Amino acid sequence: MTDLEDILARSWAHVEGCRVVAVAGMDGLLIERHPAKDDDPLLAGAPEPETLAHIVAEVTTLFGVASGAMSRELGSPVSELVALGETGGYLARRINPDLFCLFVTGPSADLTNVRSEAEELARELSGALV
Amino acid sequence: MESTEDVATEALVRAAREVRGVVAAALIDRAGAVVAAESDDQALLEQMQLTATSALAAAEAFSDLTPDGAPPNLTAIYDDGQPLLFAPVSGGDMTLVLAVASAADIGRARFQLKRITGG
Repeated sequence: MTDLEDILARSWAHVEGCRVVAVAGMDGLLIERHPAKDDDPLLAGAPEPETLAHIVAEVTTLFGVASGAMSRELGSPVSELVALGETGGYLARRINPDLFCLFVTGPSADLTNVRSEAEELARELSGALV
Repeated sequence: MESTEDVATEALVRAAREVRGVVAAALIDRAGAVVAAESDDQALLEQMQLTATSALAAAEAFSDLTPDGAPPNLTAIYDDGQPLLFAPVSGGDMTLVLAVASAADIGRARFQLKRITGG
């Protein structure tokens, strides 16, 4: 297991209701996820691998969209995106200009906890992925 | 006795091969000769060798479009066959070619390739 997988596994375990946690590039490609194996029982309820790839690409687009007027008005780049539905949601946080992490959660996840863990994960990955 | 350069190139190829999802790695020079390789699949290695020279030419052509004029990394995705990643190394004198198991492995391989080559 690489450092990256270790870090994602630890973060996943800290978020109750987390279906999958991933790190991806701003080129729209998924880099790593946890759980990593397609047949891992822990992946039950998580998006299919192809679907997760599409979600990552969409999040990349959303960060691109949010880098315009929304960021200018804030005076700083949008660093976090949250999308919620009745059956769960997504939280993405920028790690650096090239990378972001993504949490896919079920309905039972506590958003405050997810945000806190995403901040911690982004900080840890920004140090580990220099 | 192996030179320091030989050891470095072999270490580079071995590090690339160890990335999860990478099924073959090869370092190929401008003439298309394999400098170092790690793969259990000889046919795949030959395909990588055959396409590397074309990829190098394409990378040189695309380098006019990059801000710093450096040859870019290229990825080839086939309808039938393993995706291939091409990364110029040693200032473009050689190309590191990776074959990955599926398109789902491209992001990881690209990311790790940048770390391995310092690109």
